[in-house]
Amino acid sequence: MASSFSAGRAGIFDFILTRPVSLTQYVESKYWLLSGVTVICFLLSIPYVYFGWKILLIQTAMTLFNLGVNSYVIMNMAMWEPKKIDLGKGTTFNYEGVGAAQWVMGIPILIGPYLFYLPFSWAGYPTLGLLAVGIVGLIGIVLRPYFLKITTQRLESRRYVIAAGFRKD
Amino acid sequence: MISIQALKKSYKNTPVVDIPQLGISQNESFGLVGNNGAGKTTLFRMILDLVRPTEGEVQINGRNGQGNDEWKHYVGSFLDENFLIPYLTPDEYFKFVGKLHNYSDADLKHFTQKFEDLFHGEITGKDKYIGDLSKGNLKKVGIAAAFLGNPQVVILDEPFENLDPTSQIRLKQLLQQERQSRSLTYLISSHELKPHYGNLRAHCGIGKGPHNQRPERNQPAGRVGSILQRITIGWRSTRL
Repeated sequence: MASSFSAGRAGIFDFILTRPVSLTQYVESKYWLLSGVTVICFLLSIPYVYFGWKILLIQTAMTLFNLGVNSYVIMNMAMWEPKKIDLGKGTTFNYEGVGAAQWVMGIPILIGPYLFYLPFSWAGYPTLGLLAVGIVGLIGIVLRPYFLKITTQRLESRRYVIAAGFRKD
Repeated sequence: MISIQALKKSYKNTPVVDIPQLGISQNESFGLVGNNGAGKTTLFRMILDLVRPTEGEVQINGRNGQGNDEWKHYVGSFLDENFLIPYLTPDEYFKFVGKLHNYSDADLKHFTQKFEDLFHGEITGKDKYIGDLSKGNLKKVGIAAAFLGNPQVVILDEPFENLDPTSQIRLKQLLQQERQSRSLTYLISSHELKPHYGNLRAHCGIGKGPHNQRPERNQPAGRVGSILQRITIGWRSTRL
């Protein structure tokens, strides 16, 4: 997910920059795309409730966390080392745009929720830990305009580097 | 329309573009001629705010184009395939770009009709993705899309490259037609001075190194009416 998102728009960044699209719109549309996928994944995972309510609780907490924290993390890390993805090259074993940096980017996304969960879990309140993860996510969702603004500003300052990265074949 | 002041771009202390002063007025056709690696595309990218100049700035309509979105409404451009969206069909792409310029379906139909001749039935109405098109057809899609939104300035990088002779003639006619009805400024590059490019106002001398240090290669060929007309005449007289 992170890797495909970092390469994101398959090298159409020059297109975005020369057409009447503001970077704010660009960042927002990326956010909604990411959120849409997250929500769809959540809906598809609901049947797992068959294995216990705890599963649904975990899914909900993680969905909130993804929407409220990981979305911004992914978008910001994607600006780190952009790579061009050739979407025309089939889907099986498509390692276009996947490099060491893209794997490293996955680490904070995996570790993030544990930072909020483990302290409570170690103290003996795992459910409270899940709640904490969910609440952090909710806070992130509420502060969306602020985080999107920061993301846009960062993109604005890195636009030339990113554009140059996409131009390399 | 476009004014360049002391524009410089260096990569690791090697100057790539160095233009002391250049003004392109409204309704002018400006041809940019130079060898490979001469910095033509880099100059275009700086005009389009895709590459940050090391020094100097580009003003479009009196305003610095850097970090400002206004010019994007009236400058149409096509430099390379990064300006296209490979996983859309040409029809979808035109529709998407059209929407960015508030085109209605009727506007869009009217728009694609103008390019029917150039497209030669190989682009619109086909279920082929842009990424699967041949180089020539890819170019045609990009050139056509540069005209979406009725731009006042059109910037094309080597538009005649990869086109068959018939398409080249059609493209020349089209470029001419477009400017008959309204004011339009062209910036068009080529990497060689073919006979039919002979009389355009050329800023050659985009060789390697600082451009102003090579006066013998930096010779503006003079403003001669419409270059595109010249190109057509030149083409006819060369009769390849």
